[in-house]
Amino acid sequence: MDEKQVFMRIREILSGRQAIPVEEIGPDTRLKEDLEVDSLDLVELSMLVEEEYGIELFDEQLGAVNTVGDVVRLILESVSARD
Amino acid sequence: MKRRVVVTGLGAVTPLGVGAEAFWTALKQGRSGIGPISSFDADGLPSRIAGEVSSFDPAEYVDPKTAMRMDRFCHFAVAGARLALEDAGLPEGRELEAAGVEAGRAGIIVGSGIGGMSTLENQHRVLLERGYARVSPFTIPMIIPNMAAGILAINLGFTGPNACTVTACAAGAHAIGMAYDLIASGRADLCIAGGSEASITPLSVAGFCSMRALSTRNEEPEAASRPFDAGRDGFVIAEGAGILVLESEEGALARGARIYCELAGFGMSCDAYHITAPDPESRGASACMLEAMRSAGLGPRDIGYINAHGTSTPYNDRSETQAIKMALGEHAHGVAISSTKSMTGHLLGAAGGVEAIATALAIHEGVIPPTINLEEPDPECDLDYVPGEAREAAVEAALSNSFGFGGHNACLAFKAWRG
Repeated sequence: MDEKQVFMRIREILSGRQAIPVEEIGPDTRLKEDLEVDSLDLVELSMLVEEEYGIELFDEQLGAVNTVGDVVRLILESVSARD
Repeated sequence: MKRRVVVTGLGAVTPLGVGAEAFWTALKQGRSGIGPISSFDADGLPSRIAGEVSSFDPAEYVDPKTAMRMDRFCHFAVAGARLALEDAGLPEGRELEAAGVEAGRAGIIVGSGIGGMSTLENQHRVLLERGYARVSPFTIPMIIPNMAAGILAINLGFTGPNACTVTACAAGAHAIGMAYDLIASGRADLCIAGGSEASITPLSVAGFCSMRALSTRNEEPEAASRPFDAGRDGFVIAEGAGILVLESEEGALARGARIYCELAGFGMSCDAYHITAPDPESRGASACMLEAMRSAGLGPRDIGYINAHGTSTPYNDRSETQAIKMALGEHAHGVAISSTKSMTGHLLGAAGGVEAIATALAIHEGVIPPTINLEEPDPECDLDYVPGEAREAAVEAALSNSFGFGGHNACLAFKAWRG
């Protein structure tokens, strides 16, 4: 599992849930400002990610993410910490 | 002083079609909207028929992201409200004020009997199968019945009085009654009001079946809802929304709106008798009708049409017939009564909304929709239920009855508007 794979998957999830075309989502895309991800959307995203990658994300970690790239890095760190 | 309230917009989402015109055309033709349940596998359930809203695409009324976070009953409510506003010739959001309606005096009262039942069932399955940590954060906002009124306000920019009535099968009528009171008393100038329901789900149907409330005439879906007929065996569950735009008469006149009729009065009462069965002496229902007439300044002889609650259950139709006799006295035999549930099925919390639309159109167009499937009248149901075919008649005033489990009774009184 590399960064690109995780990014592609997160982009796919966000595109589906936020109803925004995948082409408009990049690593620097901001969750709140650009994708209108609200607090409940973020919880839902974290639940999907936790299940898919077998990790546990904490609210304080989620509170610190700003961009799509931040989410990808958080996942990779959590997977690495788990292993 | 009480202000006059008029009906200026109609939005129907029903098993007979989407839009008031499609709904009304089907009612006048005496068409049934009942068929086999298609939304889930109903095999094994005693009742396997329903009035489903088919050919409905929420994307026509709500943006895709929001639609995913809403239960089906909210989709219906938004569609109904948008159709009603369009019918009333009113814009939404900021443009509303340009049309002379102050957003803070524009209210929304939309009821629902059950709320987001399919969401509840889906998420309960998630809880049991995958644990609490997988339950969607949207579970609660999608289930709560008041979310239709909340989402409508967000969508339309109405910041005035906003609430939800939850009085089972009287919820839609209570919402319209509450909106009437808000406008008549001067606390709002315009309201979107009605009911919405989407409870054709396994748990809901199983629950009603368990009560022996639903028709089991599965082999003849279109003949299953037969109010006042001796062969009736229960109601047919249905879904949809019925939403009205109500305005103060002065506001409607100032913007040159088309006025369907006046909503002239409202009655409410409670049987205080049993959780589901109507009072065998019909005291609550008749008191409610009398109060609606009193508040509208109408006497029994003024009433030309009653859109009955008429569920097609053995209990209701007999008890409602008695209530009409108690409220109207001798004139009970002279009034045209029909149950449009014979065609739509029972939309539960939305029933009062769609039936208010039918009643408003009966007055506006001078046509009384029929009670279909009434072939052999129950001897205890001996009034004029307009069997089989629609009837042309100039209706000066009409009542619409809605009664709900819990003993909740609501009656709306409409009058022809003559300017």
